[in-house]
Amino acid sequence: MTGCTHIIFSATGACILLGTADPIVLSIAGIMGLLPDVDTSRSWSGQLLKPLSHYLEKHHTHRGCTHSLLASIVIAIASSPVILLNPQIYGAIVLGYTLGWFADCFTKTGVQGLYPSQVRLVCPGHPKYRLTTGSKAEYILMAVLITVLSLFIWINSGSGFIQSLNWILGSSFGAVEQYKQEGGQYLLIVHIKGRNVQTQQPVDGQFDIVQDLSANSLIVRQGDSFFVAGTQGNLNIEANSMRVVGKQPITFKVQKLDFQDKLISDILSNLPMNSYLTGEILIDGEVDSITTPVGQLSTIQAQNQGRVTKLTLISAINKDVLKLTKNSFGSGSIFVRNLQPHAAPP
Amino acid sequence: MSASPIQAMTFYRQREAQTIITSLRAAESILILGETGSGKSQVAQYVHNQLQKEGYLSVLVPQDVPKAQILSITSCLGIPDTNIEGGKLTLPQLQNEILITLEETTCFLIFDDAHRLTPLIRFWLERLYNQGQAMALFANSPPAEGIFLRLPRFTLKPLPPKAIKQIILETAQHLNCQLSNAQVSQMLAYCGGSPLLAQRVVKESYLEIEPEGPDHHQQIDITPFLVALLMLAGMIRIIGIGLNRVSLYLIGGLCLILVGVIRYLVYRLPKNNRRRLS
Repeated sequence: MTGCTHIIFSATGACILLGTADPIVLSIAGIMGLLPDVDTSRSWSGQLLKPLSHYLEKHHTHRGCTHSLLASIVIAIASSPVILLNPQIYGAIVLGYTLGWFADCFTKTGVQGLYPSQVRLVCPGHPKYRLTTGSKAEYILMAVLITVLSLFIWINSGSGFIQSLNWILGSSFGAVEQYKQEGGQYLLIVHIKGRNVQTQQPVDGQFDIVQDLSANSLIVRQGDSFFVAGTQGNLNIEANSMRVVGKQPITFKVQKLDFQDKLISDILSNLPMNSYLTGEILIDGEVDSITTPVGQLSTIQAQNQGRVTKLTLISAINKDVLKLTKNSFGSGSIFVRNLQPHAAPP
Repeated sequence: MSASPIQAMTFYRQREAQTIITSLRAAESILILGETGSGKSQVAQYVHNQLQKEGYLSVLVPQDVPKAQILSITSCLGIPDTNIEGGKLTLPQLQNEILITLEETTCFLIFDDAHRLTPLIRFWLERLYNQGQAMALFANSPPAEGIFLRLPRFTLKPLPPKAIKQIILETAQHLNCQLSNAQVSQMLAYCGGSPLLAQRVVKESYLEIEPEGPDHHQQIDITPFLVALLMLAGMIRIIGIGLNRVSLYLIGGLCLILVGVIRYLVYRLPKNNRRRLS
C-alpha cells in the first residue's frame, strides 16, 4: 500500500471515529499512518528513519512486529503523556498508527497483527481480491477514501453526523431533536416547506422556533404570528420538510411566578416585553375578546368561568398578555422564558 | 546450479528428527503431520540417513504404486519376489512375506506423503502395527481413521523467521543472486514458516516474477470478525429506541443495511481454494 493511501486511510478513520475536522488532528493521524511501514527502507517513514528501518528489515519480516496490536499498545503507552495536553491528538496518534497497519490487512501478504505469533491477518480470504501496492484497485480505493474523508470533514465541520443527516432528510423530528439539544443556547431558525392545514395555503418560509410540543411538532413564529408545525398532531402547518438553517446565540432564562390577587400589570411590566409566558392566570371579571387569524395558533386562550376569566397561555408574548390584562387583578402561576440575543452575531 | 537445492540446505528440524529417531528406537510408531512445504520429506530423508548411519535397517518407501512400494521393502529386507517354482509372488503374498520377516528382523519403515497411501497398504500397515512394527508416517492432513488415528502424532511447526531467512539467503546464494535486506524482509512475508515457499519466492524473484500471493496456511481471514464488528453498529438502533431518538434509530437502521450489503458482497466473493491454484 502506498504512503498516500496510508495517510488518507488513517485520516479518514480518525475523522469518522474521533468526529473531528481539525486539520492538525487529521494530519497527525495521517502521518502516524505512515509509521508502521518504518520496517522497510523503501517506505517514506523508512527513508526518514533509516537506522531504525535498516535494523527492522534486517531482523524482522515486512509487515511484522510494527504491524501488530502489540506495537499499537507500545505507541499508546509511549505517547500517553500527550493525553494530558490534548486527548484528541492522543487519539489521533494511537488511532492513526493502528489504522496505518490495519490497512495492510487488505494487501496480499496481510500483517502479523497478533505478533509475536507468526499468523498473518488478511481480508478478504482470497489473495486475488487483496490489494497490490500501486495497483489500479488501490487508486480506486484512494478515490473512495478521499470522497468519504471530504464528506466527513463537511459533516464534522458543521453540526455533526446526526444533524447533517437530519438536515439532508429535512425531518420534523430532526428539527425537534436539534431544538432539544441547542434550544437553550441558540434561537434556531427553521425553514419550513409544506401547507397550512386550515387555510390550505402553501408554506415556504423561515420561522423562529419557540418551543417543542411533541417528538414531531414545534411551535414556530413568524413576526407576531404563531403556528404549530410538524408532521403529526393538531397542526397549523403540515411540514414536508423542516430544516434548521440558522441560529443566533442567546441567553436563556426561565423563572416561575406565583401571585395571588395582584394587579397583573404590576407583575408583567417588570418582565421583558418579548418574554414568553406559559401557564394559567385567573382574572377577576372579563377580558376583551381575543381574535386569532385562521391558520394560526392562539397562544392566549380565554375561558369565562362566571365572575372570573381563566387565561391559558402557551408561549404567549408578554406584551400581548399585558395588553389584555391591564388594570385587572388576578392570581396565577406562570413560567417566564426570556431569550436575550447576544450582541455579537454567531 | 541444481534444479532442487533442497538437499544442500541447512537442516533446521534437528529436534523433531531426534524425537522421531528416539521413538523408532523405542519400537514406537509415529505420525508426523505438516502442511505442504513444511519440510516433511527433508525430515524423512534425514531420519532414514541417521538410522542407517547408526547401523539400523531402514526403508524410506518411495511414492509409487503399491506393488513398487512393497517391492522396495522386500528388496531391502532381502525377500525374494518369486516362489520356489520361479513364479512371481502376488502383492498379498509379498505383504505376508514382509510380515513374517519383520517378526524376526529389526527394520524401520518410513513412509513420506502417507496420506496418498492406498487403503490396501494402509490396512496392511495396521497389521504391521499390531505386530509391533515401528514405522514413521509423514502426512499432510490424512483421514482421521485407521492407522492415522492410532499412531501417536505431532505436527511440524512453521520454521522461525531466522531459519526461513537463512534458507532464503542460501537459495539466493545457490542461484547466484544478490538480495537486499529489504527484499529478504518482504520475501519473509510470503513464506509463513515454510521452507518450500522460501525457496520458491527466491526463485520467483530470480526469474523476475511478481509473487501472486502467499500460499501458506499461517493466515487468518478476519472478514467475519470485521463484519461482526460492523454489525454492532445495529446497537445504535436499540439505543435510539431506548432514548426515543428517531435519528439514532434511523442511523442504526441505515448502518445495519449497509453492513448487510457489505456482508452480502463479501460473502459473494469466491472462497480461496487451497486445493487448486488459480
